[in-house]
Amino acid sequence: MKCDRNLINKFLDGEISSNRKSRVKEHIENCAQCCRYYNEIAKITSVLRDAGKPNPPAGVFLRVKRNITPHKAFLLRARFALTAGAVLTLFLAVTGVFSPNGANAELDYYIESQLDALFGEGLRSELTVYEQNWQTQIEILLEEGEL
Amino acid sequence: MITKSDIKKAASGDEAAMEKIYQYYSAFVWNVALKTCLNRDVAADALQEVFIKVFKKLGSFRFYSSLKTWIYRITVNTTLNLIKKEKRREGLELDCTRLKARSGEPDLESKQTAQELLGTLDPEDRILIVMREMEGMSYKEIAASSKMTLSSVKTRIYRAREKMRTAYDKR
Ligand SMILES: [Zn+2]
Repeated sequence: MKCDRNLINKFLDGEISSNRKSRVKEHIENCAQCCRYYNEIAKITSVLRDAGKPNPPAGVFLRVKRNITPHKAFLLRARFALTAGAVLTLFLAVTGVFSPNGANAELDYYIESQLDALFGEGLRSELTVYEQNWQTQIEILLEEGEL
Repeated sequence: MITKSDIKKAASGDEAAMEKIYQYYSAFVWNVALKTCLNRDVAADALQEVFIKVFKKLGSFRFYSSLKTWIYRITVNTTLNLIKKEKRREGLELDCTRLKARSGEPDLESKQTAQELLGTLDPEDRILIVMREMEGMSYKEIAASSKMTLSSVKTRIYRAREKMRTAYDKR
């Protein structure tokens, strides 16, 4: 059998049929060059194998979440809507027309249409679609003290 | 285990399902990214970018391949592209001189050595070695993840081992 480094690699990977295995092993054991090659590659692969697996850094998932849905422009609009919505609600509450239990459907409709007029018709439906993610965004903004 | 329903939920924006997928695969992505980039900051960018892509594209995942292979493929692509981009931007060169300059008995036990060995390879070969030796993936899995043929994966891994051996010999 001739010296064959590919074969030694296969041997190391356990990818050699059992009937060939003993012949390759015998060659490695009796050939100084191949023996050295085998031991060095085996050492290198074991060093790499034992290097350990570090834990991923914290906070990446939160950043991923923030990145995948509402983009910056949307965030800004959401924040603006929140603030403006609060102002409007406060105004309506102060002037005594606001019904806190939401029983007045006409009034609710009025508030919604006012919001739509102020911030564009798309926003409310966008808010509904993104409701879940939107809440996360608010949590993030609150956490960062931006709201 | 990530189920088909987890995937569908995550694709429709369910955060719990997304987090489950993240928890399940982030260790792999981080290990491969960190050891291929050999730089924590670049690796962290890679980790983030991989999962942004995963969740953005999950809706178009059609179960033709396993989620695992699909995520592995995104990992390989994203990591290698990020290294290229980073190299172009600031000439990120890996310091392999230490390996050759050091004299005396080689200390192959340390973590440092694994890094140095990896540092002798191109990122394209390094990522294959990381998947094979550090993640213990089969050649078949590596081929699927890197869109290479089985035989070329083997050839490149054997050659990369040879390259690391030569560098180790020269110390
Ligand atoms: Zn021989």
